[in-house]
Amino acid sequence: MTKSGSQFKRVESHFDVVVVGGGHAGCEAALAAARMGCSTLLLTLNLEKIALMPCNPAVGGVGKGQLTREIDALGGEQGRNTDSAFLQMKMLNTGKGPAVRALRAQTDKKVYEDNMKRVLVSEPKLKVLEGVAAGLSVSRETVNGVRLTDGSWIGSKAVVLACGTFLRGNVVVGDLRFPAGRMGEPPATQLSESLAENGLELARFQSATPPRVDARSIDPERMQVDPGDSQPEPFSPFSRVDGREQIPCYLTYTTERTHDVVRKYLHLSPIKSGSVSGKGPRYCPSIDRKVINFPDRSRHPVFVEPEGLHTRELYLQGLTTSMPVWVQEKVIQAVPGLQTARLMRPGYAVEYDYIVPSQLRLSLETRAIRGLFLAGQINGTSGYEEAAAQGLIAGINAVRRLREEEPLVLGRDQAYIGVLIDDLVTKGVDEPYRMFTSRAEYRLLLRHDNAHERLAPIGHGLGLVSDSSMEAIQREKSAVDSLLESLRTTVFQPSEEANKMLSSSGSSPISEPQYAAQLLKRPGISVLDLLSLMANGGAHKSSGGATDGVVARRAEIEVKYEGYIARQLADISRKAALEHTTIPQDFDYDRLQGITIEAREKLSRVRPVSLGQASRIAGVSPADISVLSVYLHSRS
Amino acid sequence: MSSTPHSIPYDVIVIGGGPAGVEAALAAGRQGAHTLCLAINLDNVGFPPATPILIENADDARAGLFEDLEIIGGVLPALVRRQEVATESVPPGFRGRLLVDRRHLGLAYKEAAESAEGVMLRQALATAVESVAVAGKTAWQVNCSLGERFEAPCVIVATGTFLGGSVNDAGDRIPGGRRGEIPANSLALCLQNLDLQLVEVKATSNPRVDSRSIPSVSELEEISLLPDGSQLHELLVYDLKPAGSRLEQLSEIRKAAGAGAWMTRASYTVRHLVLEGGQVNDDLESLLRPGLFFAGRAAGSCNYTEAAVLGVVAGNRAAERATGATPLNLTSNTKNVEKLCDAIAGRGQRPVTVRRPDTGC
Repeated sequence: MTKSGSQFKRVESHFDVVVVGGGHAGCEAALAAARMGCSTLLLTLNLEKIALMPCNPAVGGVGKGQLTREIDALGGEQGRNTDSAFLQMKMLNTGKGPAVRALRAQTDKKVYEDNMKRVLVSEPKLKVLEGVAAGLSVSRETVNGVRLTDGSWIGSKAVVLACGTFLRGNVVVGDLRFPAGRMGEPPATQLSESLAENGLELARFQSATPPRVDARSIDPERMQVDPGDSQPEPFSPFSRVDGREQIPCYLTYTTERTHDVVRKYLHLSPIKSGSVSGKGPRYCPSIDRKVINFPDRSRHPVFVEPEGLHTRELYLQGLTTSMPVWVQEKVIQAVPGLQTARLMRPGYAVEYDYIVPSQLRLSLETRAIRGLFLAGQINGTSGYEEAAAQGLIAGINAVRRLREEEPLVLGRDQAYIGVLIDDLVTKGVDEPYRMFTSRAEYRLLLRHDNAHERLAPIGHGLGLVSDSSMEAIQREKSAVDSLLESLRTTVFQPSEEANKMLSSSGSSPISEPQYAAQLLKRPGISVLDLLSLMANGGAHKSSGGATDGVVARRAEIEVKYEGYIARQLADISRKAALEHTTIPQDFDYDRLQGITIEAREKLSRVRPVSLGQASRIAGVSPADISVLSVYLHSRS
Repeated sequence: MSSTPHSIPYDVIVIGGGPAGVEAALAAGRQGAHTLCLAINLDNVGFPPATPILIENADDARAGLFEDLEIIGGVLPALVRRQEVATESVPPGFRGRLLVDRRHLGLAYKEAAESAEGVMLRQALATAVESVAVAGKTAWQVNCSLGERFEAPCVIVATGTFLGGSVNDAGDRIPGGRRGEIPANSLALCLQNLDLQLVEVKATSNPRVDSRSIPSVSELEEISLLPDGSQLHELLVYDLKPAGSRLEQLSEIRKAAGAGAWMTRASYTVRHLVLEGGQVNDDLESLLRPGLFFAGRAAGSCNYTEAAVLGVVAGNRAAERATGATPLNLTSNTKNVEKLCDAIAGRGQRPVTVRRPDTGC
């Protein structure tokens, strides 16, 4: 007897994996499953909206760019697709340490969508279907199909839900609220009920998007031009982007006058009036929230971003709002550069159901229902990159589940993706989760430049990264290793030439022989300085041959940050014991004496797999961990 | 609250951003009218939702109308000549037909609307039109769902399948202008309250199949399949509009196209309201409500070419009425246009422009 109905149902179609939702999470999940050899169906409300970017016309940024890079390293699609559609590419934080360097691309939304669609249909094992999921078919706590609103059933061995903001979605603008998954699109109304019936706990969040204005109506003279990098670097090392023409964004700032306008009409903001149910993202806040929370800030940046080469719509990053439309127009026109701007689309908020993520395993499978995986905003995240990362992992693990293989769980020391999922499952969310570099304690190890070295072998093992790509990545790693070897063994004599190079870089001369690596640790000295010196014969041993710029930069980072990297590695070693002390999944926390009530509750809810994960749960103290540790060791 | 304090008053407001709405807005703009075009979703502007066929063959009555469309200033013929819009591979049996990539035609229409001098495109759902007095003259105020209000002497209703629209989902009818898109229901009530005679018609979409699931298209005898979109590689099932549930449709398609055929989009029906014939004059202006014009499907057209022609006529005439610009001659050298407008105005026979007409035309 299934929970979702006892009538005989005709199941005409069977797939190994059904992915519900064609957004960023859904596309990655569907591609991964199909590429790993499983028959896969992507079910979406509207085939025209596949891979739609409903908010920022950009992929990447600080923290997010690392996710996209890792998705590429594992064999996912977001990085490559962004490379094919970018209008502007920028490496951020080049003046800061390598841990916070991240790539960000402005994209042409329509090109992004079209290219992703083509990629989907060129996967032999992937089919698409336009339809609405109404419920899950679950038998003996295992999912075995999806029921559509048209009454038909699709049988499957695993299901990935990637429904975005559509679950019982409501759009909110001012004091108006109406059902919608996005502006103009009806929500999904039945699926939430099915999830709740099957024992899943849902909660509400809200997300908002800023207005769009007509490019012909802005005043660029009063704004700064924000161009892309002169030599754009792609997300994927295999994308060709040279010679691509980039278009600029504009940067302006709100003023006190803008803030006065916001304050004057704040009582009409749904956030202030409390009419939006559900928390909104703290780190992508609306302009109303910024003015409330940061009253001392005299200005906030507004990036004016093109949405495509062939459209006049401009996205106003920094002016997210769900205030009444006429207020939005007043606020916009109080921003220098936008004083005559004409609104093309109003900003708005959408409230929607999400699943409390502590109900998930680290594989993104729900604990309550075997074979059911969740990815994207449905887990309480915000952002295309966060969604895509989860989609990739969910798709991979849906396949692993079918094959009765261990799921792929990336550690916090392995990838931002690992940090993301561990944070969601272990710590939970009380507002939509957005990735930052500060969330990753091992961020110096999880860099943009070494993502492929870290993760491509895993992608290759799964069948998502080709042999030739793997070879190219290995070749680069060998080149880096050999350059490092060279730098660590090459000795510079205190020659006139060497000291001339040093002083021209603002560094003090040497009086005794020094290893190249030692000199490289000095600020102001770059690997290219040393390489040219080595090539000119100013050293005991020469590296020989031209060295690729990317390889040189990677080696430079490893040397310059050697000390910090070593400390992080030592930290990981110390904590390894905790990470590898497993806790049985059926552990009865009620039997444990000497832990707090809160800890008992939280541990029972999250069901951590290791002492390490347990230690990260909010409300579980080091003392509680001690007790648990002693108990586990005494039993083993 | 009216829109932007800096706004120049509008001469023409077009409700609807489909092919008819965009052609109307562009035509009005060309006549010097300050024009606002309202679309429920800017991602779907200019999007031709039905088949990729513009013209069946050289003998198709649409062919003559298509040529006339270009003469009276419609942009569709020029857009169709663009490389990404004209469909590259036309299967045998369809030679002589003019097929388009619907997605790219939509994007081209959107680009044209956004670049046209004097035309402003804006996302909004119109909920009502009311007659108001502005500086001693009568005008129309268009009210929208988020509280936006716009005024102009002339309004063109080009709502396509969205006016009072509902779509079927296995026996249930739910509101929708198309599957997955919300309709304009309040506006329908409003127009009825203005004593405009509206009649419900229906349009049935064609199912689509995954082209990879059809081994050899040319060998099929019982159905014809048309390439429909370069992105998802779908084929539109041309001469079969199977009824019933998704599974019943799939079964019917499989009988004709092989057991491996995979249907990506089932056929569905949208019911919606259009203006009954005989309620507008030659200019497509309402006889009962001066200043209110109708174009496209809302006026009674049956295909994209007709919709575009009505859009151009309404756009020009509304602009001329609002600004006093010299009326363009739209019918002397373009008999097909004249015949179509006569038919919409309730005089003369409808020209037969479709081989397999949708019900309601």
